[in-house]
Amino acid sequence: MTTLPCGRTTEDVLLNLDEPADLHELQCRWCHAERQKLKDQNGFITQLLQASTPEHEPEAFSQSILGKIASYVPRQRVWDVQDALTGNPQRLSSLDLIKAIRKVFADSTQSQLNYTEIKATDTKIPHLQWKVQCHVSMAEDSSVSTIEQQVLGYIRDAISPLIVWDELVVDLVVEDLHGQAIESVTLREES
Amino acid sequence: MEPTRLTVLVGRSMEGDPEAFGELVTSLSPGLRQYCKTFFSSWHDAEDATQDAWIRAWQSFSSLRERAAFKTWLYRMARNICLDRIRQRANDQQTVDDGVLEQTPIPDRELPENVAVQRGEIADAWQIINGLPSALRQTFVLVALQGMSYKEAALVTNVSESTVRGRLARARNAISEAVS
Repeated sequence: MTTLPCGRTTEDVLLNLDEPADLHELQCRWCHAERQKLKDQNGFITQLLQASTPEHEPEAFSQSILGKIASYVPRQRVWDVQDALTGNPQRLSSLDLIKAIRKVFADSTQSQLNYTEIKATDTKIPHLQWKVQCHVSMAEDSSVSTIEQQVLGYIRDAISPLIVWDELVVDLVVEDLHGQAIESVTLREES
Repeated sequence: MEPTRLTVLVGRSMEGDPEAFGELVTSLSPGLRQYCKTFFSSWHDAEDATQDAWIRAWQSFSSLRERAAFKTWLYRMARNICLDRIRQRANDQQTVDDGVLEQTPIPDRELPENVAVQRGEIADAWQIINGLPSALRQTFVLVALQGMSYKEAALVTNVSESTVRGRLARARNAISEAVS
């Protein structure tokens, strides 16, 4: 490492290259020049390397992986339910129910469904009591109290055409854009 | 990828939706493979490790505690796969701390047409990166190319944030020396 005329070293500048310049660097022409030189040299190489990396993988690559994972046992739990239309016993997977929930959420302008889980909580066949875990992000102009009722309504609208139920518990987790939990609340409804 | 999109795709993948998982694979594989390449001298090995990482991710979603940390979790998994392979095939592969990597040409498919004229410069740039010790190379790729924070890179490489800072400084110094 080179020692600059001001007494600092190249390493001192390098260690803080991703941080804003400190007071000394702002006032020191040697450090300022060193920072600029290091940024330019590294930026040039970084830019070249980034240019050689595609933004998206060719479709064939993901298809090959999807082909491989398809051979693994599905992780979906299957539930005995009573069909809402016919009243007949039926078997539905968690994913079937989740897809219905996602379909309803797709029209929402106030909330975005990040993750959901659904499971029966009773031992009856067909199952009538359900618990849904719902992780959502909400629009900036919305509020948790607004979202609460909306989410409960969405879940009810999603599963009611599919299955007969008599109790619905929704564990609602409101998250930020990155999926970090901000607030949680449990909602309950009986049919 | 937008954080909101990533959050949704990870959530849907955890629910068992292969379509969402496919979109994750398509979007994140270029960067993941680039990271895997820091362990190997050939792109072929990096690609194999990338595929294995995705398959293991699909099988291990239940062990993902925080969806927000998906990328770090995936890269850590890839790192473990790469290290396992290096241990298993020590004769064929370079060791993790080996200072010099064999010069490897960039596969044609990784070069967009509009930068074809830069082919020579890109190969030179990769040669500089490949000349770094593995630990420095990994850190540089994670932070400078993949845009990870020091904290995320520290989690992936299993070292402290200050170690990441030091490694990155050494990598950048070596790059500057190679360029000048």
